[in-house]
Amino acid sequence: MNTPRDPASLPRLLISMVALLLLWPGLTLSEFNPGVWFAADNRATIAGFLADFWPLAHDADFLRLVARATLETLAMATAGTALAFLIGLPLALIVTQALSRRQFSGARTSAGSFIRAPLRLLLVILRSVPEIVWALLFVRAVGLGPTAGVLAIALSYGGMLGKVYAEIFESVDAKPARALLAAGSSRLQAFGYGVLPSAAPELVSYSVYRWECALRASVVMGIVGAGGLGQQVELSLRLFAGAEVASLLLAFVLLVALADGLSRLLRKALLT
Amino acid sequence: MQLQLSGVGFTHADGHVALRELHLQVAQGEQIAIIGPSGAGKTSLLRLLGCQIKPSLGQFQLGTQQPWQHSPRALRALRSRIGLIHQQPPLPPKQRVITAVLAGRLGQWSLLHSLRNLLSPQDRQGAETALARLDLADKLFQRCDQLSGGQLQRVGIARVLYQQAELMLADEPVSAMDPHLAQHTLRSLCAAAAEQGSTLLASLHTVDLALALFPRIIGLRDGRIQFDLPAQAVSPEQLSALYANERLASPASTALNPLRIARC
Ligand SMILES: Nc1ncnc2c1ncn2[C@@H]1O[C@H](COP(=O)(O)OP(=O)(O)OP(=O)(O)O)[C@@H](O)[C@H]1O
Ligand SMILES: [Mg+2]
Repeated sequence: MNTPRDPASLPRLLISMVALLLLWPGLTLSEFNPGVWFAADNRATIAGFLADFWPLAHDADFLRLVARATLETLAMATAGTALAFLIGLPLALIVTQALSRRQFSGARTSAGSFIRAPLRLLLVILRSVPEIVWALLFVRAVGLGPTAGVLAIALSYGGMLGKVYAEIFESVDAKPARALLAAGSSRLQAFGYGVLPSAAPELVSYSVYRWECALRASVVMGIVGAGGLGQQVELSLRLFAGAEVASLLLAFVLLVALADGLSRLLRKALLT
Repeated sequence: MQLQLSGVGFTHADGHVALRELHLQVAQGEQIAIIGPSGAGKTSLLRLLGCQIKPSLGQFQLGTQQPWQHSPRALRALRSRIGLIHQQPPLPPKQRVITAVLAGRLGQWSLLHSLRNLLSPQDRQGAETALARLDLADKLFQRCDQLSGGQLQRVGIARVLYQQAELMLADEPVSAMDPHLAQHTLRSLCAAAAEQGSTLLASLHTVDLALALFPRIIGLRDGRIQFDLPAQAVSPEQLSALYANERLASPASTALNPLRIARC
């Protein structure tokens, strides 16, 4: 009877209540209204559309189209992430404090900080513009199709990878790299021998996770005309072709499940 | 590599004075032990000699020049000829021993060669030779986190041996080893330094080992050189004065009864 009360329970309760209080105005502001679901005409439209989902569209021509769109989405996400890696890694290497030689140079500020500041800003700009906005821009610039999607992913994810990579470099023990710098190695050498061994698992795991996100994002970007599954979904939606939408969504679910399984395997292999 | 300190002092960023007015002259190929109580400034002195921290006062000459007047490029080249052995070797836990040892020569390698070496170790023979001197050749392909503290310290030493540094600075290099192994390892380090003609300065907490293995002893206390003598000339009184601690009750003199260990 006399077990002491969990001292954390009261603060937790208070935090939950405060969170609810803060959420409520948000819900009203965003005009979230469950009532629309029950309006009769809305219900009929939705019901008809959903009833159309089964059986799935599965004629040979359409399946070929789905396969093509799936591959396009996969290619878009992969190429975009690869480009993002090429943008993010060098920026992270320049921006990170982990390889700063300032502590030995005796100077209070180094030339490095003058280069780092604008590049940090560049990373902020790259990732603060959402990929969908980049996609809209590139659809205008290079036309409909996956190229716009690839470029959009490359830029926004390049910014994210650059920032997170730099943070991962800074989170691992800095002493090995510092010792190598002190023994006359260059910054890149100190990175390869002092930082990379400890950072590699996290780097790969985060990059794979980003690739997964890119898959999802590429579907959304398809809807604004950047090719792949998304563009097909948008076309079928516009035609109220429920069966086609269902097939496309199924293909997308399978794709994401596949990516999920793959990245889980990779991470497991890395963390042992 | 010879070196010379005249009136060198060092103050940490927080205003703590770690080294005061040091005068020191070391000839090429000398082997010197630095002893002194905890906080005396041994690590600070070794880092200063290794060009990791810049003296706040005085003149520091390494070889024939003052390192802090070099261009960054020349300073880097100079650093690649200096090997610092750390008390806790700064090695990534996931790195393999062979890679950790080969990293000793990064300062002499091109970027391309270092990348190739990262993918597949290029000089297995060299790493094995350095490790064999310290009885560690069987750990070549082990990962660093699979080693004991004493084994890890020896990997750190092997790295500097492989580097063939002209100035070897060892900061309590055998603190994690049993007395027997510590003696054996220090002996190997002294022998290797002598073979390469490298200058060796080592800070040690075991006075017996210092007196037995090093011809010249520097006693450091409160950032000052208390004495700088040949090993035979160091008297027990000087040692107890060096380690005397007003704040600790136990007399310092009982800890110091020099063992008789053959000189190398
Ligand atoms: N980064 C630092 N910032 C401020 N003070 C420091 C710093 N590093 C060391 N000190 C101080 O400088 C003095 C000398 O330190 P140092 O590490 O050189 O001693 P040491 O002789 O190596 O001691 P030990 O035998 O315990 O390793 C100490 O009083 C210490 O508190
Ligand atoms: Mg120390």
